Amino acid sequence: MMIKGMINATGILLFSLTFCVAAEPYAFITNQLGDSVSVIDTAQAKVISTIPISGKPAGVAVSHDGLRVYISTPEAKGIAVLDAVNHKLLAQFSVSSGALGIAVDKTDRLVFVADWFNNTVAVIDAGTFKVINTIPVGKSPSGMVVSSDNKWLFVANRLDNSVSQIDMETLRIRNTTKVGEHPFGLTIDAKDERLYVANVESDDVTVLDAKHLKRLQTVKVKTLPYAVTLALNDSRLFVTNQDDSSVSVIDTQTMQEIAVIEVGDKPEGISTHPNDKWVYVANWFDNNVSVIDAGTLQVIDTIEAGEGSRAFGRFISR
Amino acid sequence: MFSVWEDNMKKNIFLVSVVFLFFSALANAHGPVRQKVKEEIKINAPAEKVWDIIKNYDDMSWLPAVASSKTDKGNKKGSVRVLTLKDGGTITEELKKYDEKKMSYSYKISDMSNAKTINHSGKDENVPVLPVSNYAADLEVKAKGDTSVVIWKAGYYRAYMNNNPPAEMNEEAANSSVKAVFTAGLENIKKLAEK
Repeated sequence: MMIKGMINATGILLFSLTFCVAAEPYAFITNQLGDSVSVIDTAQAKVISTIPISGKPAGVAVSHDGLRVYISTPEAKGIAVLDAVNHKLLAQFSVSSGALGIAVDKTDRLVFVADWFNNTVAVIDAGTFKVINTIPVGKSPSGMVVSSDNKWLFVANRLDNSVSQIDMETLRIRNTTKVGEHPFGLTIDAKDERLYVANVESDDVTVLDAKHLKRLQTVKVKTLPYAVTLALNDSRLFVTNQDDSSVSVIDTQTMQEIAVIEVGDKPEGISTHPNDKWVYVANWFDNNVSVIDAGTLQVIDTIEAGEGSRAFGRFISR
Repeated sequence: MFSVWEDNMKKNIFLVSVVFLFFSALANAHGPVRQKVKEEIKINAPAEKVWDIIKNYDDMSWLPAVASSKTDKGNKKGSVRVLTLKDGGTITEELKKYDEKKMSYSYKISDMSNAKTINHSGKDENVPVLPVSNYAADLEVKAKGDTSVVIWKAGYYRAYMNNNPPAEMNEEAANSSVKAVFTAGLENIKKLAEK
């Protein structure tokens, strides 16, 4: 009887633990000046843990199974790997001198690290943490995104004003196309049809046909657009305008800027919650995170993070 | 004979590129991290009075280090301001945002004269009058009833963009210089407003 009760209790506990992980995705915010990562419990809208990470953490990529977080640490010339469930540092190792942009493939087996100085993308085996390949790309590669079908890796080459499409099978560039001036962050829709690229210097977003890398449109936004994310079934694109303390909202049907939402100062990283409705923005100057409701286009929360919250990459487990 | 020459050329080109690669890798090894400073001051004067002192982009006489300032387009976005400092140096800044209602404006340094030239690891390096690069700042007045608060903040990188900066061009130099300018400016605004 007692044993049975204990088993039941354990069962309930296990169930609720699993439920917690599934129901409360975390946002991992890199605090570059604070040498730490703030873990936000999105259900409670607050930081529940702060993990110290040396090397000025900047880029971030959460694995698709939600178990790991990969973080670039430019000053330590490498990356850090976090346990996304227990919020612990698993490993930290060097990759190359200009590690910044970071992404994970859809199978969670490969981690890509763009090297800002060496104009390469390092391919790391997520199991062994070894660099298994180095892909030469354009000048100062920054943001990266993997297509939903896991066939392509896209890289924004900031100083080349271009985007490269890399074949994930051969790990070679298949195509490169010119975009606006100084492309930085980029994202792709769920159908792998359109690629959206934020161009820091030309204050606009280039919309590319993801398959053939054809330029479809250029949409003006505000000053210094930095990174992008999609929400509400890919119907709305959100763009952080670093020098305008705002987020531009673009209707992806009409390709018009339909709103400009005021957030904190120097907004940089931006990611969408798995509910497809909440958009999180890391404000570098203000050390906090704005939460936007993609439907009402209102800021519904502001969460304090650490010094120099940057969070460049896909920082929410979904 | 021609092929020997060609082979030698190839070798030379190869050597040159190896040496070049080596040096560019050295020079580029990890970049600087963006820095920031935020300073504010409480002033016992209404916000409008304080805003009057700083609202004209072409007049930076409230900053003690400035001897004279002029702009090409006043308070219009894109207006270029040249500050001449009392020690003779110049700073050129572009107005990026101007909001009369919010009593705030933002600007960026586009050019600076050099304060001095130093020798660092065998090379001459020019130290700009404000030892920063990629500098963007905001100045804002906030009303607090009959009193006000002035907030001055900036984001920037250190002046030396390569690895192993000299002391004159590292993060500490950048941060302490910007802080000193902000503190002096804010204290003078307070003095002028509370007169």
